[in-house]
Amino acid sequence: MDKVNAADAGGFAFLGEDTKKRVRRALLKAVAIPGHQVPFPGREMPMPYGWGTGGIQVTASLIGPGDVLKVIDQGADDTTNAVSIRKFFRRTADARVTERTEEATIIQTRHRIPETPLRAGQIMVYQVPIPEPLRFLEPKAGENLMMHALGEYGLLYVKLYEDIVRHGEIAQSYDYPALVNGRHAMSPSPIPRFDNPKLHMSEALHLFGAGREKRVYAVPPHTEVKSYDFSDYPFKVQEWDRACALCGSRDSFLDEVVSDDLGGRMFVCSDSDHCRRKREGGEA
Amino acid sequence: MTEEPVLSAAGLSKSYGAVPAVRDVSLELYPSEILGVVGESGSGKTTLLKILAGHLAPDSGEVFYRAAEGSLLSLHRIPESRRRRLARTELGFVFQNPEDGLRMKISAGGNIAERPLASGLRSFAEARAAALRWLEKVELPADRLDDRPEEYSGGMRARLQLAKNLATSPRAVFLDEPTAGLDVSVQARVLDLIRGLSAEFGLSAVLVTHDLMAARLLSHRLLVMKDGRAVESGLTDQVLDDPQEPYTQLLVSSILGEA
Repeated sequence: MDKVNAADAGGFAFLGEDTKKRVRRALLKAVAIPGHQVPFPGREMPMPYGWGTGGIQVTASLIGPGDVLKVIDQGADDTTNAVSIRKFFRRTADARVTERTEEATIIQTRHRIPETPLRAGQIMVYQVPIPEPLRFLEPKAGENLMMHALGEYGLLYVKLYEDIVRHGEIAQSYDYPALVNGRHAMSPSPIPRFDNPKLHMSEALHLFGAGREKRVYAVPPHTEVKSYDFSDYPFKVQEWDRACALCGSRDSFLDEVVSDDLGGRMFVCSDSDHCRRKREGGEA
Repeated sequence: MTEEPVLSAAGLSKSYGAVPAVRDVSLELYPSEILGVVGESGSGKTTLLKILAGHLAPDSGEVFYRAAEGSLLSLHRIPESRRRRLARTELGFVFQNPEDGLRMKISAGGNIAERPLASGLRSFAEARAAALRWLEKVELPADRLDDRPEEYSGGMRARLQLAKNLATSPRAVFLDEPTAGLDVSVQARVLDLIRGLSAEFGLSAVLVTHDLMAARLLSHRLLVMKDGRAVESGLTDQVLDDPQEPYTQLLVSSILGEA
């Protein structure tokens, strides 16, 4: 273990070649079985769990000299986490970085899928806190494995049932469970359910890394991703009765932002790249 | 009883390490019949029940179950996926501690709806209607449908666990001391409820209990266990009124207030 860590410390993109090879092997398996959680040999990273260590290890295993990296946190490129992860890869991999979605080859994200449609060849990397969609209902990890193996996903409907009983609607607004490729139930990390439809038949490759739990999973391009729902409570994305206060967009995910200390607040796009371009050129 | 049994077991044995828990037990459970299994603590009742329900594999012997679709299944030889599917549809298991059979942080309605939802029900309105229907069947107040079992009393939890198991109309139910830990008046009401439900739905059940009064009240036939063996079996009244085996005689004579 010491030997591996020592070898890791100075490698391209921080991790050693041996570790990256093992992570890539886990990722290949994850791509081969869409939605299935695959264990990987997670390393200690120079930042705490919860700061995106899973996503960073996935990105580190994939990034090469030709890649262009975009990092977003809460949809924005200029938040602390995004800035420091970008800096990390500039320093350890001399990575070219961008804020423009269509320029990026790898997009590491915490909460959002960009509003700009993804294209073939792009890779989304998600930082996942809790990869297990069944944990809330069944805390036993061995039983979770069995339920995945046998495709026993009835319990997810119990969760939806509880939501409707308590809130009058399906209140789960993020990390909304979905069935991938008609086989594996997946927790799409903490993205809002607004972004779930973007996973369905996406052109891009989506890779999910959970650092604390040392698991990766994937949604390959052109894969069916169906959000769970009831026949009488169909899946719906969030809607706002207003437009973005900055760019006037009506179809993007809005964050409520406090604008002064007098109680003023406004709703703006969470995707800062999308918002800026809408303001600059009117075209997203 | 000329019908075929719903469940039959032949030569079941199970040891925990060097300790034998069940030794060479065979039995049959017929449609609409409640079979009582009595004996003192440690006699192997619960182990036998777990084997019959498919929760625990025997060291030797076999359990045969007649599935709803008609085929005869060897419960411990079919694939685990099939066994688990049966366990949440055609079979029911009522645990001694309701906490083991219920999800304590999910509402009563959610608990009851779990099995129908796991069997393919995809309408919220229907799931809720089914939950309410079964809540009322076990005589729980309708306004407690959205409360969590952790807010329920012991007697209510016992009823809720029954409702949860009955929601898919199982063909055979396994009851492990369903009235344990309840005070006497609540026990009587729960027993009465089980008797009513079994009559109404033609339930086949194996009832494990050390309470001979409960056994007399509910079961049609009785199996007496001692040290893992079935020492006596027969019609309930016959066994209790005219016990043949010395152990059964001892058991019967030890009922408080009788003899």
